Amino acid sequence: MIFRKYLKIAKTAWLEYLEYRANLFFEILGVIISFLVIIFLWTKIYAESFGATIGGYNLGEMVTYLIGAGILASFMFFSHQGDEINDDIRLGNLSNYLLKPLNPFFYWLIKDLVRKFFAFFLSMSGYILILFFWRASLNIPSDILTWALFFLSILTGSLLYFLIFYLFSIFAFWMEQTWGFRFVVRVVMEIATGIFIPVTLLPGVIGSIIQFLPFKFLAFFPMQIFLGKISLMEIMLNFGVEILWIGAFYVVSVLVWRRGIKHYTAVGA
Amino acid sequence: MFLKNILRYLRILSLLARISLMKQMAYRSSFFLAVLGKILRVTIVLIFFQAIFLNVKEIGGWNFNEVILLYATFSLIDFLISITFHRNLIYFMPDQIRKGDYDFKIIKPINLLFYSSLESLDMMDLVSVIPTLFLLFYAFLKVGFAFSILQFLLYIFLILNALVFLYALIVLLATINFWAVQKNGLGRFYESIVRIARYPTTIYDGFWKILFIYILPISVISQVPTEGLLGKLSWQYLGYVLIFSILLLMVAIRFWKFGLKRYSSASS
Repeated sequence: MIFRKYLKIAKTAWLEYLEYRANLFFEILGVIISFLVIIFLWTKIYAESFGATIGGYNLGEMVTYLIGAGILASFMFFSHQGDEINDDIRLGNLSNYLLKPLNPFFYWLIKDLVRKFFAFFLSMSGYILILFFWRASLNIPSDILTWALFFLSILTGSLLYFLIFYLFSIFAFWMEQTWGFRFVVRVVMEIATGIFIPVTLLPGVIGSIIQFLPFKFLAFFPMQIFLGKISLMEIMLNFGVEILWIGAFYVVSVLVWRRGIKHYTAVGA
Repeated sequence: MFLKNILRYLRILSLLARISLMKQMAYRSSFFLAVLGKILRVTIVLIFFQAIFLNVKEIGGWNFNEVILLYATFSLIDFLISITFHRNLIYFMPDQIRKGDYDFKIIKPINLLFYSSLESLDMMDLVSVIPTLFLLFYAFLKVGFAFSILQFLLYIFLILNALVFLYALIVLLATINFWAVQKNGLGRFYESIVRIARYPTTIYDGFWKILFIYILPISVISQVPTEGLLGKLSWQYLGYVLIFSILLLMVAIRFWKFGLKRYSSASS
């Protein structure tokens, strides 16, 4: 019974995104261009570098890393979810959800997961081309355990990603606009997720800070598993830390939500 | 008559700027975060290049200082488009078409392309002039101010040329909305194309090299001005890009007018 209504939400969301498929196509094309540029840049860097490996990666591993992280980025890093939560609160749409027997958190979460699923299919069509062109230099794991852990890390990464943007969006209870927060988070994410460069290659204090932040679980960590760069022990340790981050973001967002809902005045409703 | 027209449009422009500022000052906290984000982005890019140049001396014939100058030039141009036409044409216009508000603009007695391009001037983004100019000064310092006054004037002229090129490109994309209105996909697509100019085109080989130097000369955006400043630009290529930008602008305006004629309102 409970599942049925959320299934219905998932179906409606799917149809909604289907209506804007041309729009999504352009968006994904943009992401693919960005990653082509990065792959070319790194290929040139390897051609002119002092040694054959950079930070422990050879060219094949680096190309695999960048393409893999690129695929993750193109279907995970969509920003509108935050905008939607912000607008639902600001414009008073939230009142409709509160009156219905559903949990707004799960409503937004399901819509977000459906969008990711949808974007994944669309982006694959473009990435098949890229994978084909670079097929000779790809490092693909052969054992099932690595693949299973890789998919698990994507799932936990998606959840963490949603929670980060959810938390910064529900500040809309107090503020008219929350895009400022999300803009800062997105700027930091450009480098801290490791989609342009493995975070372990970053020098100095800022490099160390970035390796401490949770963003590396969104792209860098899954690709470490994929490339077999870390042992099973380290993988488990990292999952533990990631789950702590997820728990922390969840608890904080529940607290913020409780205070916010009291503050909520349903403007325009 | 012509002068009177220009004065009229300048007056409209100052009016639009004042309205924009009033609207945007309503969201002050987001405004400070936006500035923080801009400063962070500059820092992050510097770290990224630092990490790369730990392993190489040059990338496609560009050393660290020159790459920083290229990136600073890119940031300046990115700043200039973001306070003017960027969001107006690629985000606000499709939004207005979708809601049906655009029809009211068409009937106003001013040039529609002018109005659509500059309606909402992003006064908030004006503050990011500080990190942008700081980065540019840092880059000039890095290359030891090794350029003449004439080269500097050429640099400014080529930045204007880059703006013409980017404007033509965005008008071409925005016109698509007259047939099939898009959400923000076109905007992200445009931004990805612009961002190719963060790196020199010498990183490409073969087909891609020809594409980004001649067919869709992304080099116009940041590389050509930088090379002009450093005295590395050939006369032939300078001539090519100037003609290319002007022609592209003419094609774009033609296409806009053609699209507008075909436009039938989106909402009832």
